[in-house]
Amino acid sequence: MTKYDNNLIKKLPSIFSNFDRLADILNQISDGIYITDPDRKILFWNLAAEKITGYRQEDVLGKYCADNILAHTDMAGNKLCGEDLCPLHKTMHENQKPGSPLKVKAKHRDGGRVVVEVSFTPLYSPEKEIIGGLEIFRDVSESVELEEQKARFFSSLSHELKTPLANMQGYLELILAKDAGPLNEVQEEFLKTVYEQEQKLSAIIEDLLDMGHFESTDFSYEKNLLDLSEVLNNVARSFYAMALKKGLDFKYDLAPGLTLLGDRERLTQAFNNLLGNAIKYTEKGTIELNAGYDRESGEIVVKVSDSGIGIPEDDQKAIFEMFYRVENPGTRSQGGTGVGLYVVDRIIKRHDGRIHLESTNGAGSTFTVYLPGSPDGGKES
Amino acid sequence: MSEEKTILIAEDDFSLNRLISFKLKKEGYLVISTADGEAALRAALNENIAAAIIDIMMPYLDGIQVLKKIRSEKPHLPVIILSVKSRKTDLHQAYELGANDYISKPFQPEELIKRLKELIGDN
Repeated sequence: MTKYDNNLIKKLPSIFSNFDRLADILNQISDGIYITDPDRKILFWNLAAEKITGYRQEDVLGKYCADNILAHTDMAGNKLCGEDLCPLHKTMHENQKPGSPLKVKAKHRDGGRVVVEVSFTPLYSPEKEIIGGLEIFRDVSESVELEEQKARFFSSLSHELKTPLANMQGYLELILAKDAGPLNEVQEEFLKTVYEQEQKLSAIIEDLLDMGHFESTDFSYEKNLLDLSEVLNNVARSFYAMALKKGLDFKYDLAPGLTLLGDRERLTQAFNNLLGNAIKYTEKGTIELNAGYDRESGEIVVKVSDSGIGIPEDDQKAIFEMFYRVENPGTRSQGGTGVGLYVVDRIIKRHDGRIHLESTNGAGSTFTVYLPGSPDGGKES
Repeated sequence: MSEEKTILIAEDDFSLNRLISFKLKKEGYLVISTADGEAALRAALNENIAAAIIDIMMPYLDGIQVLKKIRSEKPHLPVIILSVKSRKTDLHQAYELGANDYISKPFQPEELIKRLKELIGDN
């Protein structure tokens, strides 16, 4: 429902009874705007629409937008024009609710394509009859191109960075396995340090590449029916030794058969990041991983708790932002890029879930993840 | 191993090539190491090899072309293709042309050795 101040509107009758005044205003707006009749004949075309598409008012007024003028397609190039496909037609005649803006490609007068973000809405008479449609569109070509460039950059960077690191790791492993001959104690110790540092560097690069990956437009998730209990079990097992090595207790209690539609690799990564953090920021005490099903809300609930340094209240809101790192003056710096929790948040949101943090500075943190799913292998609908 | 098997490596990244060769020799294999597609193809067709490990991006002749030509002469030679993870089309192409396995870079050399052994029955 649109809200407006009725008193204010009463003072402005001239604008709404006089389309010239309204047109002046619409021509000042930097988004492209056009108005059609119910058959999608173009009645108004603002100056920004001219600028974005190259079509002048005299080119389009009185024509039908189906006359191959903008010829919208989706980003993959599939036609969105014609009665059964046109989103404007659907909002006017098929009662389709105007949704969030759609990213589409529109034809430019010079034959090229511009990427625009469009929204559609029907126009009603005071008697609630449909008298036309309104389309508003914004040129986003530049930002789409930037995103694509970024994705390509990250993809090549990924290869360029990972290849030499993988080679270094391979050779270091050979040397440390004494495959290249004996080592004295000091050499072995120093090379182990080199190896550890190389591992750290690899982890940081993985983080950065993940971030690039998540930002890129062509990033897709798999959607398979999967056993989250099994995913969590694998994650727990892979961290068990690490926790024990650090002298921490590691308890986990996972209800079996928790099932959801999702991406196994991505969810594994999310819980890896959460458990990895829990262990990294905990010097003594207990790490806990629990998973169950909340029948009331119909959600899978996964809790990752630690008894570590905790997160100060001031930092809790920003903790899921990219590059955010808590500066803790009293503790030793742990190293890291501030990408891990950002990635977790993105993954959980892409699975229509949410994540909640409860923490007291100095007294541990609990991350609770809620994911839509089912408790028994998807048998119960 | 009763008799020594020969493995062909075609990889233009010198350090990775040497790393794989070293590991294979340690496992008791003989190794023919090549760094471009033409040399790889010559070796694949003329030498008595038990399997080939072929990188896709190589000078002169890429790994896909090498695989194609190998398949027309030696349809049953076990071939493992190496490539960069982000290039998904490579994977499809490689399997369509009859690659037996595919490993995306970077990888753990142990993983490659394990898959190679499975492929040629040296477990």
